[in-house]
Amino acid sequence: MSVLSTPSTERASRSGSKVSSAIQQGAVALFGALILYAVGFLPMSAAHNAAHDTRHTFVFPCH
Amino acid sequence: MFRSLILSACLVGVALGLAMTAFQAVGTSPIILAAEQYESPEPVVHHTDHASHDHGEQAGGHQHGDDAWAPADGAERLFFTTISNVFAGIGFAAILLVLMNQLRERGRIAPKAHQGLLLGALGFLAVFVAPSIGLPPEIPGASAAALELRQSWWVVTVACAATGLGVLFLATGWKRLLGVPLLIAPQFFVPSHEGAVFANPDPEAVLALTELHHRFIWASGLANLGFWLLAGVLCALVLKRLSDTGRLSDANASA
Repeated sequence: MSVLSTPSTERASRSGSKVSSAIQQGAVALFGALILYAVGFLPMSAAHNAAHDTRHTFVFPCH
Repeated sequence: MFRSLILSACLVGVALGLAMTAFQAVGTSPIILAAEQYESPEPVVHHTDHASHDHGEQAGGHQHGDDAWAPADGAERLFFTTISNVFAGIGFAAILLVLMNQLRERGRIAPKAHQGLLLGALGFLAVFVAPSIGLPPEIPGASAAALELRQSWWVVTVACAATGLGVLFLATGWKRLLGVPLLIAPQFFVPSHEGAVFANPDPEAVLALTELHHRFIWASGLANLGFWLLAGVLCALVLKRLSDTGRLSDANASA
């Protein structure tokens, strides 16, 4: 019996952690995108000036 | 897993940022500095030229005036450029790590150095080459369409190119071809700029800037190629290590 029940609980926990894994990975990607926005796109002039050479080299639109 | 990926992205980002700073030191920075010599010989002319595509007021105060803070040339500027490079490295590494991990989970790639090189090369095509076809790498002093337009176009183009390349490589049979229009379509909507290429009207300056511009395209291309190949390899190696130590497996998803 226990042999039969283990796979189903395992499957349930696996699908649960799959969702959690997807959310966590989505959060990591969002974190990356936010940082890139700050470095490459933030219109504040101080941010632009600090990251100026980086923006030019990475071909983020600048000026 | 969240923590492992973020920490990895930070670690890879530091390495990438330092590498990019080295590439810049020999490649793009001298060209940027040289181009800035021609940027504003006569502030008044420069500003009226810029007025047509100024993005200051609406964009929350992006100005070219002297009142805005800027790092002093030399060590301070190098410091802030390095920090910015590291942040850019962290940002790109975070996204690349997630993409690679998704492919790994689906069994489409093994996290090995040569697969990392391939994905890095694709990243170079999507993030550098695709937007550069429409809007070539720019040096200071170049005139262009409104900044917001170019930024939106950049984001859409990079997203389309990444999706297009993904479809080309991952789909099967005729469906691969669906990736082609995604690669080409944004190039029909490049924000165009009318008028002189450079704000400086002096023919001698234009000649010098044109030459600098051509050198800059190559220098930035090589710097970005190096950045992306390194990013691909480092992300692949990090993912391999994380999966070998069980920090990416579903069982440890909350770790």
